[in-house]
Amino acid sequence: MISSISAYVAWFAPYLVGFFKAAVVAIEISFLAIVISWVIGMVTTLAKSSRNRLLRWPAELYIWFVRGTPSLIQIFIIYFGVPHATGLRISPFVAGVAALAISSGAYVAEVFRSGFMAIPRGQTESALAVGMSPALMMRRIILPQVIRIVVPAMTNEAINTLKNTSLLSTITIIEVTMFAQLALAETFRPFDFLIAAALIYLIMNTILSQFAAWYERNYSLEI
Amino acid sequence: MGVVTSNAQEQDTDLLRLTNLRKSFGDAIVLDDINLSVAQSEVLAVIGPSGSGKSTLLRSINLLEVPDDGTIHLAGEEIHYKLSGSAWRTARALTKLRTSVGMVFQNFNLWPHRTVLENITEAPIRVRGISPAIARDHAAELLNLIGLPDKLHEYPRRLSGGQQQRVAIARALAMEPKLMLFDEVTSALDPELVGEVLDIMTRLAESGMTMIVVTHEMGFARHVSNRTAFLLNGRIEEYGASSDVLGEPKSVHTKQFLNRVLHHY
Repeated sequence: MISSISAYVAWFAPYLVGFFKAAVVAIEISFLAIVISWVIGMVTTLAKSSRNRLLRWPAELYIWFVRGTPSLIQIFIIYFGVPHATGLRISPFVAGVAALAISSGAYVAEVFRSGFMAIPRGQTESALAVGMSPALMMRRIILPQVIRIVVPAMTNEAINTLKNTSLLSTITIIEVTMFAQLALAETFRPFDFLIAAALIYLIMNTILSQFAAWYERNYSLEI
Repeated sequence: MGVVTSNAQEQDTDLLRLTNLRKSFGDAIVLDDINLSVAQSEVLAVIGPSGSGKSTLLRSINLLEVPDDGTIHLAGEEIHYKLSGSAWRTARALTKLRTSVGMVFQNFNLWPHRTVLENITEAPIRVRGISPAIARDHAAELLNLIGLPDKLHEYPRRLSGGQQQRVAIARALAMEPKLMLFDEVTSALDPELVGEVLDIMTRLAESGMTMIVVTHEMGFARHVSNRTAFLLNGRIEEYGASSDVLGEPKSVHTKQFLNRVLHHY
C-alpha cells in the first residue's frame, strides 16, 4: 500500500512542476485582469451615472454587450477577430488579460454602482456642508465606504475571473486547464489530471477568499 | 397676507440677510419670495407644518439647494442665485460659503468609517488646512464641550442617537462657522435623548453663536430663540419676537398650527 502510494507520488511529481508553472500563469493573468477590471468598472459606473449622454450611452452599451454574450465568444473576438479585422498582432497573454478584464469590468461596474447606491444621501450632504469639494468628498467619504460595501460581491467577481482563466486554454495559453489536457493526452489518465486541476483552482480560490474574509473582518462596517 | 414685523435699523448688524428668495420643484413653489435677516448672535427659530419649505429654506443658505432667484448676504459677502455661472458656482466661493456656515442634520450623517475624532478633524485638516495636531486639540476641546471627552476613538455606530447628534454639532463647530443651521436635529431621536442635544444648543446660543433652528420643539423655540418665523406654503406667514409669535400669534394660521402641535391630546 505504502509502496504504491510512493510509486504514485513518484509518477505524478514531474507533472507538479508543470502544474505550478501553469498556476503561476493563471495567477498572473487573473491578477492583471482583476486590477484592470476594477479600473474599467469604476470608470464605467461613473460614466453610467453621468448626466452626459455621451458618457452614459457607451457605458450602458458596454455593460449590455458584455453581460449578454459568453466570455468565450469575447475571448475569441479579441484573440481571433480583432487581429483579423485590424491587422494588429495580439499575443495570447495580452489577449487573455484584455478579454478577462473587459468581460469582468461590466459586472464590476454594476457592483460599484450598487455600492454607490447604498451610500445614504446624507453622507454626501454632510461632506459638502463642511466645504469639501466633490473630489475630496469622493476620495475621503464616499469611496472608502463603497469599497467596504462591495468587498463580498467583488470577491465573487475575482473568483469568477480566476476560474475563467480556464477558458484561455482555447487560445494556446498553458494555464492549469490547458496543462491538464496536455498531461492527460500524454498519459490517458483524465481522472488524475482533471482532479488535480480542480484542486489547484480550489486552493487558489480558497486563498483568495480567505484574504477577502480577512479584509472584511478588519475593515467592514455595519453602516 | 403675512404679518411681518422687521427692524430696518438692524440691517447693518445683520450677519445674514436673504432677499427675494424663490425656489420651485417643477410646478410646486417651495419658497415664495422669502425675505429674512438674522443679526449677529441672534437665534432664529423656523417653524411651520411639514412641506412648508423650512428645510429648503435652511438648505438654500449653504446651497445644498440652489434657489431659482434671490440674494444672500452673509458677513459682508453677497451671492446672487440667479446669475448662473457667476462667482458662487466656483469651487472656492462655494467652499468659502460652506465653511462659514455649519449645518447639523436630522439624521446626524456622521461618517461611519471614521472615528469620532476623525469625523471632527476631517474637514478642518482637509478643507481649512489646519495642522492635524491643532485640529486634534480643538476636537478634544469640542468633545469636552459636548460632554463626550471619552468617545474620541469610538466609531459612530457605538454611540446613541443623542451622542451622535452631539458629535455632529461638534463636527460643524470645528470649522469655526459664523452661522449654525439646525435642520430638525431632534426629530430622529428617542424622546429621552432630545434633552441632551437641546442643552448643547442652548449653551451654544448663550455663548453668542448665531443660529437658525428649524424645529418642532416649541419649548426650545420659545425659551432660546430670539425670533421666530412661521412658514406656510413657502411664505413667511408670521415673523417677530419669539414671545410674540409663539405667545400671542397674530395670524390665524399660526394660531391653528400652534394649537395643533401643542395640544395633540
